[in-house]
Amino acid sequence: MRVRIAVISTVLVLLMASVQPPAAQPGRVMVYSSLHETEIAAMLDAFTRKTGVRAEFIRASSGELVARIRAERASPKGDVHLGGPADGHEVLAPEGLLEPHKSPEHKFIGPRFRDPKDRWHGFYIGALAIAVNKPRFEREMRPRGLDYPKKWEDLLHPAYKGEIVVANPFTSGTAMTFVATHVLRLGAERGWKYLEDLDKNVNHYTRSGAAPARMSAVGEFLVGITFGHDILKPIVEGHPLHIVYPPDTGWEVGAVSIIKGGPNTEGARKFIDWQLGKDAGKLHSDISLRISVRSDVPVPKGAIPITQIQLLKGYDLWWVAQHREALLRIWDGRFRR
Amino acid sequence: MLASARLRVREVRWLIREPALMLVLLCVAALLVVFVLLPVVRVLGSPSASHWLQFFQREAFVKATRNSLMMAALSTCSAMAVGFLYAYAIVRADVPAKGLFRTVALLPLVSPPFVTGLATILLFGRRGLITHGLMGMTYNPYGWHGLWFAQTLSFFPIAYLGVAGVLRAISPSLELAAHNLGARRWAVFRTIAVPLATPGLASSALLVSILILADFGNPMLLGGDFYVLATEAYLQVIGRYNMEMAAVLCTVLLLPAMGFFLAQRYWIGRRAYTTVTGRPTGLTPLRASRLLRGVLFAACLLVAAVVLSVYLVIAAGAFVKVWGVDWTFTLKNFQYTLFRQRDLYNSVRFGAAAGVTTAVAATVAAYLTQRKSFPGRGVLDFLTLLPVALPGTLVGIGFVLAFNQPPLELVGTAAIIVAAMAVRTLPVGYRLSVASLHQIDTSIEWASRNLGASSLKTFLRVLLPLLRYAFAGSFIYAFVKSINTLSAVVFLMTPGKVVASASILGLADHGYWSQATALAFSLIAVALLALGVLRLVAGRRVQLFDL
Repeated sequence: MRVRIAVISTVLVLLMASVQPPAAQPGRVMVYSSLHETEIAAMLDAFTRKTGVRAEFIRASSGELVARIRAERASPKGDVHLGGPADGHEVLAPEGLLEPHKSPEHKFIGPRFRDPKDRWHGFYIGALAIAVNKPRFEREMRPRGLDYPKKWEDLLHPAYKGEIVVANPFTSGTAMTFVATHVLRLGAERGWKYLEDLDKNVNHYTRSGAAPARMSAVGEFLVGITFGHDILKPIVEGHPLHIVYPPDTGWEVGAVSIIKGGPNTEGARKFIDWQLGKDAGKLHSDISLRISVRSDVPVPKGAIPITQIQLLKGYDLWWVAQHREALLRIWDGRFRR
Repeated sequence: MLASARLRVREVRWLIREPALMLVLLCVAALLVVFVLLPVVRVLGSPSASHWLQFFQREAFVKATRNSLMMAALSTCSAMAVGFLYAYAIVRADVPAKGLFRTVALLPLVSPPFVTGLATILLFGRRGLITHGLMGMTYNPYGWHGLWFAQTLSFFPIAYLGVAGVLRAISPSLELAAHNLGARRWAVFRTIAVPLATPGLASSALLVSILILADFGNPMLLGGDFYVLATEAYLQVIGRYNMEMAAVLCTVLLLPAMGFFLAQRYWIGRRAYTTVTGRPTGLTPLRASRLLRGVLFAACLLVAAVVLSVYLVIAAGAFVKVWGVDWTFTLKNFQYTLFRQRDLYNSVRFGAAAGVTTAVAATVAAYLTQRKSFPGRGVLDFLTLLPVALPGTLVGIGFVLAFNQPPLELVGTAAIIVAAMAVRTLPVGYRLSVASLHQIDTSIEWASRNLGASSLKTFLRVLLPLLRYAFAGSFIYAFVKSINTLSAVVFLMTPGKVVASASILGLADHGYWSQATALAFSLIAVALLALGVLRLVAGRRVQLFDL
């Protein structure tokens, strides 16, 4: 009996010990990222191979990460905030939550793609687009005399009732860009009116910004609104999606930043320098179909050059960052059904 | 007054005489206070009056409260009905193919609850296999009806387990005696089985309703515009880190759960009947009529078929390219699982550690409260059972609030995830141990004490061997539940400490169904493997999900 108890308790102690590694692992960079999981994993692998610094990540939508970084301000657990529209980074800058960093790669990146005070650094650009499930459209909409939507207003047609999905701006940076696009495009009053009219056709608001592309790709919903690169990806994988960049579409500078006071700020600096470099830029563009802000990184195969897209001229990420909370409050009041 | 004070003094004096026991007692008490009480206190204490005002003013929150209560009521009724039917058929009516039915009921217990939600989308969704593929219609499962279906299927096995336990605990000898004295079957059922079973049934219903109330995986996937408190609280935390508002919502969620809990404790609990003694009876219960058995068999068959279709669709989804679009066979989705093996591994090791923690804590706590008298015994019992009334979201948010800053800065460690898992499973483990202890006559212990053994020695040498099945049961229960848990741990995950259940929900939420099903398939396989290993090691002596 005694022997058995001894054996059992030894096993238990060993089991408990296996949970907590003996020491905290120094040198690991903790990455909070809103890119796709497979992309993050590929990027971090390449980073570790190149620099020898190991990295761990957690994926969440960028609105969620903004909230998380704010919540952890007393003792930050993350080092790097990777990806998502720059307004989600800019909004944290005046709160003193970002660590400035001067990177040698800055000279390859245009000044309008980064923070003048070096607290966030743009590395890709993207524009909002509309994804339409082709077979379903041909079957259900074409006979009703509809053509593929070409501009934002086309989505207000009653035929699309319950068939449109777009994300919730509280969680998704994509959706924040979407909401701001219409407010900036049409002015506050008409912009919110547009969103209210569109709301009649929206089935529900998803958590993740890229989810609508997947949902329309499999035909669960007819129309998804998200960033173009998130639509191109399922297209390249062979899904029957039609992509439309409507005129005056909103756009993002995708950014990366260092979280102030994180456990491994030195590692984070290394990561930023690597991420902004040419090789990482090419790797990222190739796997994500996002377009690099560096002119020496080629537009990946299957992607649409940003020059062919009619971007909304008045889109101002600094304005969006400044008005983020106000926009969210209004959205919350009107669209939480 | 004086007498009770004298009693306390005597109790303390006994404790001082046994320092080992006292040390154990203090440890257990400290752990319960820190990991059960403190998070609750933090949740209750953090919101201000203005947050509460906001809650009552916002229609969305009031609506979510209504939705939560309605969903819990509906799904508990349906889950209990199915569970009772199932249990009666298996335990009392002795229907054929019992083994198959038991195994089928096991499946929802060993998989994340939202797997049923995912399968509902795949089967009955807008591109669902049955609704769209076979029947050519476009049914929208997003809403209360789809959710009701998924919740019933997810939680009926828990009802079944509870009811089966109750039915088994009723010794057939009473029924046989009544029968022999001339009572008819119906009279026996009404006057013996029902009153004996009522407390147990009520407490199973309580457990089921609290679990449904707190679940957010399925509402997340299937709710659409139908928001419940758990999803609201989740969005408040994940979307805004508005901890105070989330705490308000959790408190609202806690109120009904707490009400059920107190009702069970002070009303049903008093009416609990134990007919099991240490001596097995070896009597076979009355046989049900042929007609009844036939009807029950058909009903069980139907339930089993629906559950099986859920798991077949998960398995099938894991092996096709794109569900609903491209049905080509592929193993590619499992490459993704390989890529997520880290999450699976995390689930397993955290789950195992939580299993050990729960089993040890539950056994020790049960021994202390059931066999020892000391000041604060009732409080200890209360704290051990309290987590049953705590929604997972509340535990998660409470842990973040309580352990996010010094001196207890534990968020970001694996230990905190394990602790959350263990707290969640502690009450069931404790109940298992208490039930086993009740079946052991105290005379055995008195004999041991009279022969000069200390409390500790008596516990280790006499009780522990008798409790080993309850111990193993607690461990496996906690392990399986922990690898599938989502609500409590989702707020505690940091880079490198992501668990598989959260990845599955994330993937399903993004519409990556094939990858989600492949990962879910792997997670279920792990759970079944664990149960299989247990069966190999312990043989048929440990009948965890057959209590």
